[in-house]
Amino acid sequence: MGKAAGEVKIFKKADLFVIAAALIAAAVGFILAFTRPAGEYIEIAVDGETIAALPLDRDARYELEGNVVVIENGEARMEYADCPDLICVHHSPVSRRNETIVCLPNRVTVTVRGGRSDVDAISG
Amino acid sequence: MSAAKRAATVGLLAAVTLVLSYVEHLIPMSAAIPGIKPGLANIGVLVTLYTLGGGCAALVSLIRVLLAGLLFASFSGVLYSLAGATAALLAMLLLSRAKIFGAVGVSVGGAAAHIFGQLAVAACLMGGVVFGYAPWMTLAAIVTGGVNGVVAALVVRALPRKQ
Repeated sequence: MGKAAGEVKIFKKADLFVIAAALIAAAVGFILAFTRPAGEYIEIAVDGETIAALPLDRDARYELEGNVVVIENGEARMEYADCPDLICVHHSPVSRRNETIVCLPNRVTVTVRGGRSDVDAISG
Repeated sequence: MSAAKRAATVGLLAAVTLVLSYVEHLIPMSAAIPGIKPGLANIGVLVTLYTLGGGCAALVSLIRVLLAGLLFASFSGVLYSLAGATAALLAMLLLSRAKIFGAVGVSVGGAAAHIFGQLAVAACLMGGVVFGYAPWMTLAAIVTGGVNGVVAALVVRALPRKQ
């Protein structure tokens, strides 16, 4: 048996620590996301294998078996997916390095690559 | 409580939890912000944790994940669900054992752990790719986890004390 039913407190002071920890984790996530440099091209992968690389500075439309990826105004987004949840379609467009749109049911990922340091590495 | 009564109560709570899963499934949440859902089923798991203890809560959670997976999700859906549910359960067990946290703290901790459990599976399947929505999901976990915690505590209070 667990505790007697009457003991359950809705809120205790220590709960603030749990909430604070979650807020800090979210803040760190936001800082990491927004300080990323802009990317230069996207990699489209199925099952972890890259099947296409498209530059972000050229509008394009790439059709897969169950998905359609569109590049517009320097941003990439998933325009269509044949899965029921459509999480990837509702995902905001990506343009920063390492940002990713994932379609779990079809195992398709769209990842932004490149950026300043890559160019430096290539030119140097 | 006799073994038979406990088994019956676990079955009842598992059924309620499954219904909460179903209700959640009916709400078109992906239209709002992707990946964010209220996690209503956790109310059932929390109530079980507070009334019958950790073992029964684990059982209710497992039954819920398997049945909800069979009814509404795909195989990979069950995998994500199981990872999230396991992480959430462990976090809630630890937090409730500590005795210094209220239902809100336990529930928010569980909701946050649920996200990280799922992200861990996603990272394994997708090769290190992490969802850009994780910070949003964590913020949402504070709200949804908090509300679920309040509801669960009120339900536990409303139940008869000696069952």
